[in-house]
Amino acid sequence: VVRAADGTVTGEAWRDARTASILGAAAGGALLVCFATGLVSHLHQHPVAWFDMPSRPVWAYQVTQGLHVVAGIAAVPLVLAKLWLVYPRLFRWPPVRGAVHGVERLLIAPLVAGVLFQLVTGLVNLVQWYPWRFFFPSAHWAVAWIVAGALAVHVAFKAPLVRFRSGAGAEPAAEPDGGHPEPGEVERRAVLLGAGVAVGAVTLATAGQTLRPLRGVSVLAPRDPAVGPQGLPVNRTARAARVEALATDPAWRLVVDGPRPASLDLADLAALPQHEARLPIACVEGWSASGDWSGVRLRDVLDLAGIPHDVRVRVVSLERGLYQSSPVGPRGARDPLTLLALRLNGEPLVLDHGYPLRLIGPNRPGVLQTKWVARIEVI
Amino acid sequence: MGRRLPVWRSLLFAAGAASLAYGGWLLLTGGPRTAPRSSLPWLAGALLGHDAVLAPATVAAGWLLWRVTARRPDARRILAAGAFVAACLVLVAAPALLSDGAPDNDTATPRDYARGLGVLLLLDAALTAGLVIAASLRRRATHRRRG
Repeated sequence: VVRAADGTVTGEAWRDARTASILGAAAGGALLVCFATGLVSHLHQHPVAWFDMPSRPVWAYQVTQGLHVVAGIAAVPLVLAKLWLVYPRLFRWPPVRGAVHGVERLLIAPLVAGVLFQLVTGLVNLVQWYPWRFFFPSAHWAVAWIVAGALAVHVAFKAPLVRFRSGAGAEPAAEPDGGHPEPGEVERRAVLLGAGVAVGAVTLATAGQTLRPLRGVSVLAPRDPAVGPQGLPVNRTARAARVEALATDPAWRLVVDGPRPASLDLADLAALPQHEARLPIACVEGWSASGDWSGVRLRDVLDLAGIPHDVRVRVVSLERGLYQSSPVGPRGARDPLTLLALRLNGEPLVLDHGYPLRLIGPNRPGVLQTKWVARIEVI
Repeated sequence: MGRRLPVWRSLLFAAGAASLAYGGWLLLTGGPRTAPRSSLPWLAGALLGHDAVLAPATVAAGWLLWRVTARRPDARRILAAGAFVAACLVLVAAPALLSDGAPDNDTATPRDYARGLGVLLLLDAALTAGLVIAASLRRRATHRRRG
């Protein structure tokens, strides 16, 4: 190793296992947060019979999904720095030393392709842009398992080489001649500091879509939690959902299917006990914003129709298509904060927020806060 | 591998292989939902886009930076970090800049992203320049003390 006068090293001593381990752990940690929070979101949207999602804390989905997107964006600089660090190894000669090494190298392909696919499609999905033919959630879900698996195998292969501290292993001890750091230490610190600053920059530039105090600095955030009708953003407009005519039809009724079927118009609903709740809309795209909702409790309407307390119900919209209904488990359906809302922030709901009636409940993804509700049935 | 594999590593290999196989099965058998004829090219494109375009471009930019700053080694690392931050900001802003978003929804992508990115890049450039100047002042002070 040739040391220059200022303590830096010619050659690339800093491209070592330690830098790779630190960047790998940071990138892998961010991806692990994405995977865990993604599982939570999947379980919300594809409920299983044996687990009824708790309806509290109210802000749980806001936090898990906000973290999903924050960690995914933070992973962009971390993954790029890690890939740049190990890029020269792509061209090592001979490319393969034996069968085990061949498998190890081969499985890097699904890992890198999968991670980059998740980051690219995730970022593009944030702006509601779909320049592909697959359904984003399904492909993102499948590739998440590919990345998790390839990452686990990669860590298992590399475990003997992982090193976070200086001076361990075969390399000389840190600062051997008093004052000079370990070979490559200056460069390593610069690389890690640069990656850290990039993580801070992209996080501050976007996190304001869920952390409201940051909305002034988050100039790249796909959403502004304060921009929208009645002070709240909208994911799907009435026009895009093609419900404008049906939702404003005076013949609209809420039909409740149960032992005592009920059909309620707006006056009937307004005559029921009204309740208020401050609840967030928290979307899969990672933005969230809270509103003051008021309307009737879902459980009061279920009781009116004689629907028992331990069943799962389905709230059906006027909208047709993928998001035409959402299931509500017994915990959510019986939560006093789960409302069929008629009003938002002191005014009747506007069409884009679900007029005449929308579901709003604690700890639910925005996509399951069904708008333009027309029917409730037992599953 | 002469030594025996620790249990936790064997478990990690097994769990990883199972997860990899499950994800591959989900992707390939998902029909129109995962659309392998669209998702597989996107996977390959992501890999090639990095390994054949982005990474070589970064290497070339690094090489150029090292040549340009041959007489100012103290500025190199600062400039490289500043450029990396700028590149990450551009990548994160790219979808909002390249897409129409949801054309009938004013609340999706409501900001002026070109302006936002411009401001951030200027800030990054100013900060980087400030650090380079600080580094050269420090170097000069050191030289004077030694001289």
